[in-house]
Amino acid sequence: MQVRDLSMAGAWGDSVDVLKAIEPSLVNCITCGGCAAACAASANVSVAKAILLLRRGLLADARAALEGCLFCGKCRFVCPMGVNTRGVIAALTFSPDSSGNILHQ
Amino acid sequence: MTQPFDWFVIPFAIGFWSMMLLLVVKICRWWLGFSSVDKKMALSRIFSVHTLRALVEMVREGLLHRNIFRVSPRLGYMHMSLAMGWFLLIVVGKFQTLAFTGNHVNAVWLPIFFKSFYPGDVHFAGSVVYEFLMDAALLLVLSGVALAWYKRVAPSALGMRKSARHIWPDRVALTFLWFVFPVRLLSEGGTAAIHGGGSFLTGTVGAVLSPWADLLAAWQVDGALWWGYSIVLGGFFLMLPWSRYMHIPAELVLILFRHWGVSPQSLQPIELEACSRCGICIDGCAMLPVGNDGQAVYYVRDARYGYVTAAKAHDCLMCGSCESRCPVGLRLGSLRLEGRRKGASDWAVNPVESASVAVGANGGRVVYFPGCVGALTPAVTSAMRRLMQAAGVSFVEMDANNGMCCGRPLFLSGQADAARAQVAQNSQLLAASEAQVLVTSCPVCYKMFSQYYQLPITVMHHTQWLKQMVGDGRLQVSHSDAVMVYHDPCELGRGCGVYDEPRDVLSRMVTLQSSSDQRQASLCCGGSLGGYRMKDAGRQQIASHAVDRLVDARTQTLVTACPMCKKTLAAVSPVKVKDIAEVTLEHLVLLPFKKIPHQEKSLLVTKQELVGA
Repeated sequence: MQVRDLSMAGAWGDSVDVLKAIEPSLVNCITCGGCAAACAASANVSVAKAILLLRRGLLADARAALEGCLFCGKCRFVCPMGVNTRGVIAALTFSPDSSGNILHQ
Repeated sequence: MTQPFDWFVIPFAIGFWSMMLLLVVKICRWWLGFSSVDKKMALSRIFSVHTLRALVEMVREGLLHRNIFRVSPRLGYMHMSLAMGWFLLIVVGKFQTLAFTGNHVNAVWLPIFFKSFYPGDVHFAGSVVYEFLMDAALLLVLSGVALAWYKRVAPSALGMRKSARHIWPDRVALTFLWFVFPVRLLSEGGTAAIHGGGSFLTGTVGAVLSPWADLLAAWQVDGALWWGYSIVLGGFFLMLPWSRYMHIPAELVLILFRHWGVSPQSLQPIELEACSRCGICIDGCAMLPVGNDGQAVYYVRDARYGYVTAAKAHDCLMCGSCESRCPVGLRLGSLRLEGRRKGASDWAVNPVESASVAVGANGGRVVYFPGCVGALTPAVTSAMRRLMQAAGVSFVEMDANNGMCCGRPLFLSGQADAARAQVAQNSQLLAASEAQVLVTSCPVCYKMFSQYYQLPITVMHHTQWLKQMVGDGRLQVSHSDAVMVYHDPCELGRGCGVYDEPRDVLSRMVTLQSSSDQRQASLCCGGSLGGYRMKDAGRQQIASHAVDRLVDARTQTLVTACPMCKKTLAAVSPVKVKDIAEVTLEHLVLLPFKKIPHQEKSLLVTKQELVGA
């Protein structure tokens, strides 16, 4: 799938560059909100919202938008753009990346 | 009788005693790491039948390597000949020195360098038999060494597609090991050339070398060879505790403690050292098509030396293939999860308000949970609804609000505490439902509900439920001429041992093809919840590989029993991919067309109501 890069390069700040390196499919998000509609955890959890907040450079808020996530992967099931949502959530919240960067500390 | 000594025994003695010291230290550290319950359990079983059973298993796996024979007879022979041959050299050597000296306790080097101290034809009770047995054991080991050399060049000749890559302590130890027995043969042969003696093997080598006997004696070649033998043997013992050869003692200790009832958690440090890095797990790894190097053998090695990276811990689909292949029976999935758990930061799961279960609706004894993706897999969910109705089963659907998760995704990502919170909440909801049977369409949920929850109700995967219904005649199915192949989902097959039920149901309806990649050898579809770092391209590569292996020109439909597998395989399959419930519905005789009544909202109880009540 050929996807337009919606990343607005440079506008995201350092943390987003790190995140993009871990999970490149992040830039595919069109913030349609399908993930939030399918979410099993709560009405407040939204990967689309988290990515939108990231684009504004609000890392802490992005993290808060994922609080309570059950990691079940329903969002990945429905994502029309093939974003690896579980990869985004893990990188943003509880998993260290391969280069040892831990964004949540 | 005074014990003979020569300076060349020193390298051997240093290696041997440093190894013994380290082994004692390691075993003490393992023991101290056990919980008090485990210690009590182990002590209470020392003088019991469990110890005997452990000894039998030690012979079967530590010496005969029966599990490796199952993988490949030639590979099994290689491991068996090395272990059994060396063991016989030690045992026969012990009795040989006992018969010669009459002492039970001799210098530790005496049996090893016996022919150096007492060359030529030395006669004592049974001396000819001992020499023959020693040569036979040496020949057995040498045949294994020859195969090991050959395996490095051509792994496929011994039934392996890939051989494990090794790090330097392993390479050093391996080099010493490769030379120990050929050098022993030359030392004994050289000595026999000068002094005579030796049985069919060493004697023959001696006879071949005898024309140069004067030269060998003048240059003291036999002495130099015995020095060489001592150095390679001592070198191997010196490296053993630091290399993969630590598996020799560790596996024996592991077998013993397993039989003594020590908990798997306490055994983990021993398991890390009991891996022989044989590499049998590599060929089964689902990540191979994407060129990953995080196979269990490499993960366990890194965990043992304490440098697990996040990539090593997380780039794994947790499909369980390595665990089912491991000849030592290591719990490789748990070891990987331990790495994930240690690396993860805390993650709290909020109480999920939307999780719900219907209470006693329609007198429902059966609760159906399609899995969290139930609403996203309407074909499977509606097929199951119709089948349940056709079978006359009154059921209620769990999770009508789409807000439930079994907890396994969190568990697999290393968030054990968050998963436990989920388990507790769901258990509470299920207890309130007054259900007696829980049927789920998702193998991930099935594994979690059946193995990690302590539920007072029967948990079934829908393949098991279908088998029961079709077997009882409550669902009548017809046989069509369709040709199908079944893909075993990882969590259902290797995870829960459910192989026969889906095959039983399918073979009543269609012509079921068999495949070389079925049952325990099933290939992961790549969509597993265990590996969340997998990119789409990699996922498709793995799925394509699985489909290529399963589907042939005759196959009309690929059947599976997992929503993840269905979605992932359908993306790349040239034939239709269906769930077993859909296939059953298609073959159902007297399909009912009754409208299925919807549950009423008021019958749902939520977490908040439970807590409030």
